[in-house]
Amino acid sequence: MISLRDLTVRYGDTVAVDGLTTDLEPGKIYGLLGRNGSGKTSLLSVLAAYRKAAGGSVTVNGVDPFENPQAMRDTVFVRDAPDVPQADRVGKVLGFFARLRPRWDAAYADHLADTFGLDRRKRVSALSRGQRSALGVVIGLATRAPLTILDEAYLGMDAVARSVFQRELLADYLAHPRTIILSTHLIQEVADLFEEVLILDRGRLIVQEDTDTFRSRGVAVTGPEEAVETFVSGRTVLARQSLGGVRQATLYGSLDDDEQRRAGSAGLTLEPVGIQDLFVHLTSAERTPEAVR
Amino acid sequence: MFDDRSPIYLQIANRIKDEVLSGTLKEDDQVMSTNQYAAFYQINPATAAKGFAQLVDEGVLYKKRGIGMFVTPDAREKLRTRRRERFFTDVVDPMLAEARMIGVSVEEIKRHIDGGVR
Amino acid sequence: MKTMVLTSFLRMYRPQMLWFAGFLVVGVGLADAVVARFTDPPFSLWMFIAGSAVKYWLGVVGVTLVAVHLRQFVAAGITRRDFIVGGLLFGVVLAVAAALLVPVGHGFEDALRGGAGGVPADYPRWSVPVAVSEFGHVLPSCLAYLVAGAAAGAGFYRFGAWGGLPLLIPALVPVAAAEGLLGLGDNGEVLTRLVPYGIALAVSLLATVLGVVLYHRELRHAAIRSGPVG
Repeated sequence: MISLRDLTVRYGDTVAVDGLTTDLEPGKIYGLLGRNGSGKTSLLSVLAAYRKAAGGSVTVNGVDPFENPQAMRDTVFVRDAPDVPQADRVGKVLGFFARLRPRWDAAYADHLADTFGLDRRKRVSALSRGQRSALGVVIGLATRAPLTILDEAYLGMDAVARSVFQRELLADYLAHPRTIILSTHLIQEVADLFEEVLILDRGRLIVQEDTDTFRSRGVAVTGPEEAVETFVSGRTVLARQSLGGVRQATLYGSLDDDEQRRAGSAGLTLEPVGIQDLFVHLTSAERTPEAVR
Repeated sequence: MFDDRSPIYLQIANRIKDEVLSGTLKEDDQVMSTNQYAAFYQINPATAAKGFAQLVDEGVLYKKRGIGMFVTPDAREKLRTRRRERFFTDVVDPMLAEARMIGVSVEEIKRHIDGGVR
Repeated sequence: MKTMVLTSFLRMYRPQMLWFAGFLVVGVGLADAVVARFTDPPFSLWMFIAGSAVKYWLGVVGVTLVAVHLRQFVAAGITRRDFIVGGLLFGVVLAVAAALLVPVGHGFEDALRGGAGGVPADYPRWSVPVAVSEFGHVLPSCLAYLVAGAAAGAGFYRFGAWGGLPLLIPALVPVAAAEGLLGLGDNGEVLTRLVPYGIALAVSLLATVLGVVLYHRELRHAAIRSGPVG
């Protein structure tokens, strides 16, 4: 169980995480979404004891993870580039983690490295962007930490490597259930893996919801300008666009049968909004809509 | 594999119902476990479990503790009855409304069905 | 976990340690042989070269502790505290090894030059008490360089290029103390300046301990930086 209370992370005058409060249950795959600079990495750094919070509190299984040997042993944090010496060879890097990580599965690490086509004799500095990410994923998964945090883990991977990553992640989670937090901005590809999504916007948590529920949150209402405006008044409108006299408004929130009928009789078309579009609308607003908070 | 615009658990439930209706899944057949289903379709196992729970609620599947989930003996019949009830409201009525809008008469439709469709 | 950090470091640095010692022995051995063809110097080449090289090498290891290794250990689930303690234990092992290498090498040089004929009267001859004294001088110097390197490196890591600069001054205090009080004479013999050896040793070790305190203060709350390392 992860509990955050009013968590704040600051860099000088910049507030990266702004008074965040939430609980994460163990054993789920969480998707942490947000634009660049929304505070994802800062939040994850605090969970992984890479950084001390400026304010508020964080507990993982009841203890503050910062400098806590047990919590740090039970957590693995993989950033977009693995935190290993650039001059080391891949084989040496894997050997290092194998000796220090109590739950390391060497056979599985070998299998993953082979699947990603990682050359063990290559130096980390000689790896391509995607291979470096692959090395991070090998470390992240083979560590088998009860709290596994992958921050933009597949940056630079090509489509094939990304799909290998998703397949391996899910297979390993099914075989060894644990808490996994995956941050990404390529939502559509991985959304099906998430049990819950969290969306950060400017350091604040604006959505935390069952992925399936979130998926059905967005509705695009299309029709004559006035009819659309009448229908959407009083609701959370994420975006509007017009073409001639036709207007489309993207609503946040589900409509019940009655409302759907009313829309139909007003000559309006209702369409679901894809999860990627919903995310884009939610995080591109000048100001976060109050109703979403 | 799944549409990302509606809840996946409902899509899972509908897919299994279709398999029961088409006869691909027969009564007392065991369905995949949630984990197998999750791995096969690359989805979160909790989502798959929710879809299966929905089917248990609707009486399409039943659970055998420690073994797995199976198709209820009368599932196909139940689903057929339910879909039949909805056939006219969900399929025929919208078609007739469309026909009226574009000036196709019911007679024409009948002729079409008698002539072109078995 | 501290011993795991120590053993990890020993394993990582084993090839370097062997190369460094081998290079030093072979290098000075050759230099001695070449010099001996032309002249018969009254000083110990080994003491001048090896006596300095081991200290500087410990200093370099101290700097790389944080710059290269902190991240990888934290990424492997090790606390900063265990990293600090384990890394310093490794430094102590390295310093002891270096402090043993110096008198042993001196012994070889003495034997070679003595065997080749008479040695100039001023050459610092090797004996067991001399060897012990050399060990007693080199060890505190090596520890001072290691800790100074570590504290300086940690200061830059934590506070950046400008913020780390003023911290260089306290970081280098151990080196100043060791260099000021313990050193080599004109012919490469170890000597103690200004105060008796016991006091020199105590002052040097005290300055080194203060360096450890600074190192710990700098690192204990440090955020783990991202970006390429080493």
